[in-house]
Amino acid sequence: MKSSSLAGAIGASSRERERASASASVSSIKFRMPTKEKEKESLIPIHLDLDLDAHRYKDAFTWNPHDPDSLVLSFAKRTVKDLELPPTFVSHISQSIQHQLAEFRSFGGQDMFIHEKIVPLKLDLRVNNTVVRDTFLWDISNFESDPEEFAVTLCNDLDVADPEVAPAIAVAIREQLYEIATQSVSAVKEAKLGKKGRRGYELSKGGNNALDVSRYFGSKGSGVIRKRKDWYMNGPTVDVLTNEEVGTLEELNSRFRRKLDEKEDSFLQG
Amino acid sequence: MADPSPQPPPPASTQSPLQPLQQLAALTELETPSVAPSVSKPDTPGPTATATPELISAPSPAVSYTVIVPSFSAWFSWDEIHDTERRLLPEFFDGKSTFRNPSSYKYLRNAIISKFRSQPTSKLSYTEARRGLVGDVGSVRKVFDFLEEWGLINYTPPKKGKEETEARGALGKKDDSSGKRICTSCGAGCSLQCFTTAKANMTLCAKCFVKSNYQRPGLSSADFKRVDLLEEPRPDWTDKETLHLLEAILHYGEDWKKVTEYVASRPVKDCIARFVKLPFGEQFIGPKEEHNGYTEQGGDDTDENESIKRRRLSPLADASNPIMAQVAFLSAIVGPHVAETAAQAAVSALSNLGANEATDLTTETNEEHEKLYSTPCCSVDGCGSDLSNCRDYHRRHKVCEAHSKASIVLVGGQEQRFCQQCSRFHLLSEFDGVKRSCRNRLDLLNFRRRRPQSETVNTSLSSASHQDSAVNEPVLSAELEIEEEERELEKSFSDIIEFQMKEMQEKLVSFEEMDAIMARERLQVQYLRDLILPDQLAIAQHQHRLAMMVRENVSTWEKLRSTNDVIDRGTTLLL
Repeated sequence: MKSSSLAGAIGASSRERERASASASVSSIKFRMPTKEKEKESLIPIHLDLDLDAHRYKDAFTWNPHDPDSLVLSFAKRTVKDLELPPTFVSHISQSIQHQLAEFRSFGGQDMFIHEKIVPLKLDLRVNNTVVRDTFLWDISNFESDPEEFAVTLCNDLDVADPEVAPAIAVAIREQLYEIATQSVSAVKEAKLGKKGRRGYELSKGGNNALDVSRYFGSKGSGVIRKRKDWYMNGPTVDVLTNEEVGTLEELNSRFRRKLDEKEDSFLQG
Repeated sequence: MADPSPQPPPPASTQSPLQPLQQLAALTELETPSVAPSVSKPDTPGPTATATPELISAPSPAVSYTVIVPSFSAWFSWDEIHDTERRLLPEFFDGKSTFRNPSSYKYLRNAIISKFRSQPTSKLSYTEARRGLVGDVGSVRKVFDFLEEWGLINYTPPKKGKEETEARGALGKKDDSSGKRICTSCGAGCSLQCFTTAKANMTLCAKCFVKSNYQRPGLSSADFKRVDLLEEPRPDWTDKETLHLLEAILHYGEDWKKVTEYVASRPVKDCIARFVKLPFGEQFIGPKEEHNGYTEQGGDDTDENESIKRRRLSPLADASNPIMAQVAFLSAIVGPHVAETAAQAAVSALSNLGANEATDLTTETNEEHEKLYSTPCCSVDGCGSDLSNCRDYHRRHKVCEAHSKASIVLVGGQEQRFCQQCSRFHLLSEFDGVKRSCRNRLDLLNFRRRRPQSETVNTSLSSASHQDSAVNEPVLSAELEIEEEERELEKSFSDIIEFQMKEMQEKLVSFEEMDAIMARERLQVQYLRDLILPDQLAIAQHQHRLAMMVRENVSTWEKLRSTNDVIDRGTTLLL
């Protein structure tokens, strides 16, 4: 399983690419999600977290921004009807979805620099009773990558019983990829506005998550095997909790979240 | 366009083409019954109410259940994609998009259908379906709508076309009004209340809800709504039934089981309730008529009338049933009007609650008893002293101060004494010597104090007139004091402990606060550091450049200096 997580994400001949890229060969392309879709399409992750009256609605799913916008409203209505939420949710849900869609569309047409980078992605989510934790490397420049396929394979390999885990994993991966894509866009913007010249550009780019792959793996011997001490971090762990543990977790989480919110508010004011 | 638009669910005439679907996939565990019996099932011309529950209330979905698919969807098969699908969902098959392709379509379709078939009795909602599927929600929506339209999911076969909607409506109503919902977790029938949640479409009986035995862990108790299932309203008693009841009571007396059998239509509680509600019949007409004469005067009767009344009721007061004796005593004291109201109130409360008959009655009558503030009058024969000046205690128990302490008084024509423990009059035989508390109470008291019999301390009214116990009194009082001191010690110990615990708790709380403050400050510092970092780097850069420049300057300066020297030397040489 560890080897699969290694091999699955890294593109071929990454080390050589890394060496060649020392001279900063960047390719600038139009903004898109670095996943397996045709040019004009991307699937973006949508995140909903609404708390009105006494009802809490938390959801995350993948959306195709090229679907007609009428679908947003009908989706919101359908969801509210299925979950029997109060009807005030309809407008909130559709607003939230459209907001995120607009954000995505605002990035469209801008340049982003996809440097050959290998980025570590993290999974840390709990779906019903299953907790999945994993760290793996993902090749950003591989536009053939498919988070859905990865999620389905992961669940099949680990014999995850709950079918709701796979879409959650796919959405989590997409979210991180989306963030990286938007960051690279903003990096370009900063470079243009800041007029720092070439050196400045290098500096801000260095703040990203890029890994020096040659250092990451063992320098001696085969450069493909990780250092032994890092093995434990990079395998997926799947835990199945009992109902009480889930209950206590949720309680702790909500308490912690409340405290954080309070501290954040006071911190921002102070 | 030659596309056949999807027909609505078939009308009544096409009943014959309804076929069960043969399962091809080996995954599903549904059995495949032969054609004949399964066709006969939906065709049975029974009333719709019985036919539909036959299908819907199938025990567990894994066991045999006929999947009915409308005839216009008979082309469906697990492994293949039919022309209809290609026509109606072209975006999956035209290769224009990478995530909408035949294999993903097949995956979505098969997943949705198998999810529905795992619970064929409940309607699969779109949100539930898309939650478990990997893919973007637009595609899921399209496939779901398509399948629903074509009856491959959420399809209930109609019985007789026109009555289809009626049947569904009636079934829905019946579910609610039949009061027979089955708990999803324990399978028991829910009679009184059930808790439903829409999120997972579950119904739990009260026991399972209390145990928090939810199937899905994402639920919490707040997600459940309580549904009270009303019991059937009891129809009124007919005259015939009342007659039966009275006859049965005459025959069997107090044996309610036999009475219920005789009456045949009512449960025990109903019989009892009805009997109690019956107006007093011939048996009690005599004294009641005489009571009516006194109703207006109420409690302001002259003593004579009261004593007459009491004498008449004294047989009841001496009845073997102690409860009845008390009730009789109380009602005699209270006056007929109040007693009547009290009884009525008690009966109505009884019919509401249905249980705890005795306690209701007693509470009602006790409340009525409290109301006799309005008629304070000592109850001793011949003593009608007004008690408005006396203490509450005396007023409440209808005895003037003198008679509460007297050794013998005449109450109801009998020699009695006022017992200070029970706060009522007892027959003289209940008392030992000159004690002011009856034997029973004293025994209880002694037992509690674990002391030998017959010597007691009168706690309510401490007076020095106990000659027998004069010797033991100081000893007893000393022991009392010791006990009290022990108690105080314990109390102070517990207080100390409590305070210390509070102290510790407060310390913990303040530590937590400190922790939180520290964390916050750390965040602040980090934030500031992050802000400063690029500026620092820029400054470092600038400094570096400046340093370089300075060095350059210095070096050029040196060079200039040296050349200057050379020139100077040269000129001096020349000159």
